[in-house]
Amino acid sequence: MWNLGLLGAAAAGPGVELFGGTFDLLQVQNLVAPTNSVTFSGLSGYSAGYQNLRISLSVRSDKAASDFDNVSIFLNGSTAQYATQYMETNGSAYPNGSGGTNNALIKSTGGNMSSMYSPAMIDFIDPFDSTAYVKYVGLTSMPSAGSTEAMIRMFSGKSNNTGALDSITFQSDSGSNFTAESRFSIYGLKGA
Amino acid sequence: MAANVYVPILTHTLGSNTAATSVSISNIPSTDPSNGDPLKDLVFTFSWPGTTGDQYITTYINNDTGGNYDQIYANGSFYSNTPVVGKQNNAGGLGLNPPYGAQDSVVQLYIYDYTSTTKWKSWLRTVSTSENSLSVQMAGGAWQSLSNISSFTFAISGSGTFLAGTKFSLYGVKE
Repeated sequence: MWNLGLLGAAAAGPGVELFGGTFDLLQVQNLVAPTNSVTFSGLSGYSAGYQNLRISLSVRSDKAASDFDNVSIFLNGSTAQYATQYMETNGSAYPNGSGGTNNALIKSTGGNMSSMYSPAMIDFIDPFDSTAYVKYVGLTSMPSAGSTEAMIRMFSGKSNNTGALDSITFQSDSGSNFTAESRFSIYGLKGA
Repeated sequence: MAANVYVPILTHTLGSNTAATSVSISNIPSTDPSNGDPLKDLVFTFSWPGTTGDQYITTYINNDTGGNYDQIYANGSFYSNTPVVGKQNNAGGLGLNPPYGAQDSVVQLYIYDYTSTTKWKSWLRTVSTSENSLSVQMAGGAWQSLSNISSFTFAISGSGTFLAGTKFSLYGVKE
């Protein structure tokens, strides 16, 4: 048994070196009230310091009488012009598909799930290359909590517009809102 | 905003074959030990050369062996064109097992909001098994509890043990 109190936790120090750079929290939004969409803006300002970005979500929708809701991702304000793909399972089938032009790749838990928040992790690789499409890959899950609705999904996509990434918007679909305590964090990964 | 948000908490390598019941991680801090900054998420990485046999590893949070865990997963293998998928509701533990066996495997488990007292603890997991089964797994789930996570304990099916060289690492993620 390792009792951290006895062994002594490792010194936190300056943090962990990952992939030749450091891993910094750039922006975070912890919702204190229901909100339909969340936007990170001014991201191109990080281009001088960071090579890649990671976004982490812990989200729930207030969609009434529902176990889930869809979450769309909009890059640089564009609500169309995406090419996306995913593979997923609900525990019995394993379809592949596309997130469609509105980039709806994440499912959040819905209003029936009072304490359950869906996790998602999305990596944007070289998002500040102004000559290339913005590309990303991610993993998300909607835990079931006994519901017939459940999902684990790996997804990727790109914007069909070139230009450095400057803003990312997450929007809860169907006119619903992200609930309070939904959390959106964006991290920067420095290059060598 | 916080710089260098990954905080190393523990790295431990087993020096000899060890029974699962003798392995646990306790007193997991809720703050950065160096400065008291609150930690939000927990990253648990786990690598091992195998167990004694292709056995399954179950993890318990805070010694909770009740039916309070959900998980959904998809396993892909070099040996099959058809993935193995499944869902467990109200399971009695969090399955850390790699698919089809436990040889030369690595696991990364990212647990959200592990110190929250208002959220269940949801997680994402990826697994690779590079020997025998040559498989990969993606999984997600949750521990249905409003308690902060303070410990992990383990069980291996049958009478399996962790082999020497098994390594456990734990990081906290600051906000």
